[in-house]
This record gives sequence, C-alpha cells and structure tokens, in this order.
Amino acid sequence: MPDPQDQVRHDASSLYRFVDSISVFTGFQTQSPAYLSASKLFLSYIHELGEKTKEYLTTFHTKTPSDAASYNIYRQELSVLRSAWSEIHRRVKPTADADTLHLPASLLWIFVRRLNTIPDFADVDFAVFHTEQLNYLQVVAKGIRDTAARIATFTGATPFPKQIGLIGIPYSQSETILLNCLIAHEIGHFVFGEKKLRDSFAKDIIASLTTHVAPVASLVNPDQLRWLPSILADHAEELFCDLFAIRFLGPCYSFAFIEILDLPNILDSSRRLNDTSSAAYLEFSESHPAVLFRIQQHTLLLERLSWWVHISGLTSHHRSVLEEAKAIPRANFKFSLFGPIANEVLNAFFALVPIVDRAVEGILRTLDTGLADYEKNKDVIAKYLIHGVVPSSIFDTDEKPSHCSAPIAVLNVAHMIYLDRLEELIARIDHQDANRVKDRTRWMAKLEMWTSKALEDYQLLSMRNK
Amino acid sequence: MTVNSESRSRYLALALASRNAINSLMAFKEVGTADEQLRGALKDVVESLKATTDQNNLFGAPPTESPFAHYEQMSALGEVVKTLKDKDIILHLSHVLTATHDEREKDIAEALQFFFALESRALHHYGSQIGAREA
Repeated sequence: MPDPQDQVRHDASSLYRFVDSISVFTGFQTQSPAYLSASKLFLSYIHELGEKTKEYLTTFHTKTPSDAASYNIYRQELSVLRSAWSEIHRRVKPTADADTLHLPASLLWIFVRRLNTIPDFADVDFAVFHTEQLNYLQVVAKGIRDTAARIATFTGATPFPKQIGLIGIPYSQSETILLNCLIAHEIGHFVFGEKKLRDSFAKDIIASLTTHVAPVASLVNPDQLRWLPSILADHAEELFCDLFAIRFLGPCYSFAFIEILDLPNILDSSRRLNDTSSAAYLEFSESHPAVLFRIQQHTLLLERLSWWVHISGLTSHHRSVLEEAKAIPRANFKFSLFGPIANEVLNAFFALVPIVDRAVEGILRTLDTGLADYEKNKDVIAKYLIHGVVPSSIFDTDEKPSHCSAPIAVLNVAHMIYLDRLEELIARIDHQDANRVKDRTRWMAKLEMWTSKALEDYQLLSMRNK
Repeated sequence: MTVNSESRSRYLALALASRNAINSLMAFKEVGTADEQLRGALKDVVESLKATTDQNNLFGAPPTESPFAHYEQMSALGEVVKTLKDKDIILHLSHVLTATHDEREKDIAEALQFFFALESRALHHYGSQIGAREA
C-alpha cells in the first residue's frame, strides 16, 4: 500500500522545483542596478518568499496526517501554494523586464513624491511591471500583493512590505509621458485599497440599493440582485480613481484617457456626438461605469477645480469630447445587463457619486492642485516648448531667483501644446510640414522628450536641494 | 459574467483565505487559542453566509474588502452550502470560538470540512479560468 507521506513528499518536491525556478530568476535580477528601488525591493521580497517557501516544503511531508479524514485537507495546501506561485510567476518576468531603461522613471518619481505629501502615504513607493495589454493595471497588482502576503503567513516569511504598491504599464509606452499620465488612475486604486474605502462605502451602497432597487426587485432573478453590491462597489472604485487622478494631475489625465480610448471617434464632423459611434460608450458594464459618464464626471470636476477656464478655449476635439459628455442627460445612460431594473440600478449608482466626490476631496484636501503655479507659469513654459527649449527652470524677470517649473504645470502645458499648438511649433522648423503625419509624429515625440527632460531635471534639482 | 484577471484573482484570494482559516483552525484545535486571522475569517464568512441564505435580504452581504464578500466568492460559498444539505454550517461556524470543550471538537471538524470544500471550489474556479479568453 503506497505510503501517503511518500505521495506528499513527491508532490512537495515537484512544487519545490517550480518555486525554485522563480526564486533563482528573481535572485539573479536583483543583482542588476537598473531597477527602480521599489521594483528591486519587490523582486528581492519574492526571492526571499521563494526561499522560505522552499524551506517550508522541505519538511511539509513529515507532518502528513495519518488519518484519512485529515489527509486531503492537509494535502490541498500544496495545490493552493502552487496556484499562488503560478499567479506570482505571471508577474515576475514583466517586473524584471521593466528596468529603468524601459520606464518613464522621472514621471514615476514625480508621482510618488507627490503621493508622499499626502498623509498616510509618506513612505509609499511603487514597483512596476510591463503588461502586454494596452492598459494600466493596479487592481491585478493588488491581487499579487495579497497573494504574496498570504504565502508569507503559511511559510513564516516576513510580511509583504506594506509601503510597496505595484503598477502595470504597457511595455510599449516606456518613453511616452503624456499617455503615462494614466498611471495616476492606478495610484488611485492603491489609495482606495489602503484607505479601505470599499468597506467605507459598503453601507451606503446597500442603503442606495434598498432605496432605489428594492421596490422593483421582483422583476429580476434574485441572483442578479446579489450581484449588485459588488458591481456598484467596483463602479464606485473606478469613479474614485478617475476623480483622484484629475485632482492629482489636472486635465492631462482626461486628455490621456480620451486619447487611449480614441474617443474623438464618437464625434461627427461638426464635433457633436454621433449617435451610432457613441452608443456603446453610454453603456455601463459589470466592471466600469459608462465611458461617457466617466468623462462627464471628469468635466464637472475640472469645472469645480477651476481648470475648465483653461480648457474651454482649446480648439482641439478633445475639448469637444468633454463638452459633449457633460451635456448628456443621465436618462441617456444604459445598463442593459439589468434589463427591466436598469434605470433603478443606475439611480442607485448616481446617488453614490457625491459620496465618492467627498472621499476624493477628503483624502486630497491638503494637496495643492497645481493650478496656481500653472496659471502663473503656463505662458513661459509654453514659450519654451514652442521654441524647442526644455523648461527646466523659469526665469521670471519679476521674481527672483529662478525656480523650477512645477511638474503639474509642465505636464498640462505640454499636453495642451500637443493638442492645440503643434502647428505653431512645427512652423518654426525648416522643411517640416504640420500637414504631413510623419513630420507631425516626429515633433509630437520631440515635445514629449523635452517634457520628459524637464521632469528629469526637476527630479535632479529636487534631490540636490534635499 | 465575463472571465477576467480580476475574477481569477478573487477566486485565488478565496482559496488562500480558506487555507489561512484551515491552518488557524488546526492550530486552535491543538493549543485552544484562536488567532485574529481565524476570528476575522469566521466573522466574515458567517456574515456572508447569513446574507446569502436570508430570503429577506435582497442584496446579500455588504461589498467589503473581505475575501468572502465579492460576488464570485459569495457564489462559491453558496455552491458549497448547497452540497452540505442539512448541516447547519452557520451554527457550527458561529460556535467554534465559544463552544465548550466537548462541542468544540465537532464544530472545528465541521468548520474544517467547510473551509476545505470552499478552498476546493475556489481552486477549481481559479484553474478553470486559466487558458480561458480574457475579457
């Protein structure tokens, strides 16, 4: 009769080999100097976790229970550990691929330092991994942190470093600045989780559903009703992250959002919403509010923060997307998944929007919006960029000494030039034609390079002045 | 519901939380004191189970950060409860920490079987999503 302990020993050995392969990989990567410090810390931690897991597996079989009732309960821990390490495996190489040569390192540094000024986030830093999707990911990253933290409790490893978050960015966007403003939304997810806002919102979500949906509950399957709290919580989180990002960065977040989703496609030639192209963007999904609802909320917040006055004069169709979204009546939004009770479900969500607004403002109330600095220096920064000069320091003849352009101002000015004033920049250059896509593309890239350099110089000067 | 990384992540979180509960229960069985992890897990699971089985509760458990509270996780809980048929699992889970010594053995045994079944179910759903088309 085979000894159960022999079976467990074999299976533990197999898992040991799998974990060892990941641990060896991470151990090798941490020798390289070319990582963000948080990424290095993450890879080091995974290496240590791997070593502890191997140690744990070495003696796992010796505690195999002899009674049949307990055997399967005990044995299944190996399956759980294998699944957990499979999940970690998926993200280790993408993190190793995201060395500093393939990351917008200065932009990330600026975002982290800005986050560090917010109470409760003074020590936070982010490890970064590449994704093959053209998408930015933190929600999945939270799962990796939680998975690693749980493995630590089984194996006796040190707990996952609480101050380290994880963000996924598309591998192809390492040198872009403007699209990478979307990272601010992922930072919002990290903040949402750390502040346990899902727990905070839970009662309000149930109360709102009770008010708006309970009266029509008999129209749908009870399973659909039980799905609703999770859906509304997910929607509230996505809205929080959008509003957080705008409060954190200003309109450049909205512009990046509009660009990555190619939202100008929903406009017709007279810049009004095209009914056919825009229809899908009026739909709420199980995971996200409708895109045009999100844009509507962006616009409302930009107005409340007084950024709108600097956007309303743009000729860019991105401005039109924001304006058209703002004008959409709430009755036009759809949630087809919930059929006969869709309107009531939407009303339940709409009732949560002020609560989300207040949560964002509560957390970020001490953070300077960057608007005052933008208003003061936008013309000078724009003049530098239009003339192909990196706006690392502003010489203000009325005010001395010279000072660094604040990153929020630089990012927003750069984005507005990208949208509205490329012709002006290109007109200054011999043999370049703003009507040619190739020329236009070249100078879009140059604009991002100069902006990136300004952020690098800000980083260097800030570190020197410490 | 569409398959995506987040669903997979939630099923794995449920499996891991169940395993933490199992390990804490085994330790509790041996030494007689319950750690915070076990207290938290029992509280969260009982709350989710009550919400799932209460016919008057239209919307189920409040959507908290608990690994037993998201829709997929509560669905898995519901699947396990169905397989338990007559067993009053909510009663056993609620009594684990407060039962007398004689009753405790039985409550711990039922709780272990429950979390083992839940972990199995979660692992199955997690594994079935690997290789599926991602949303």
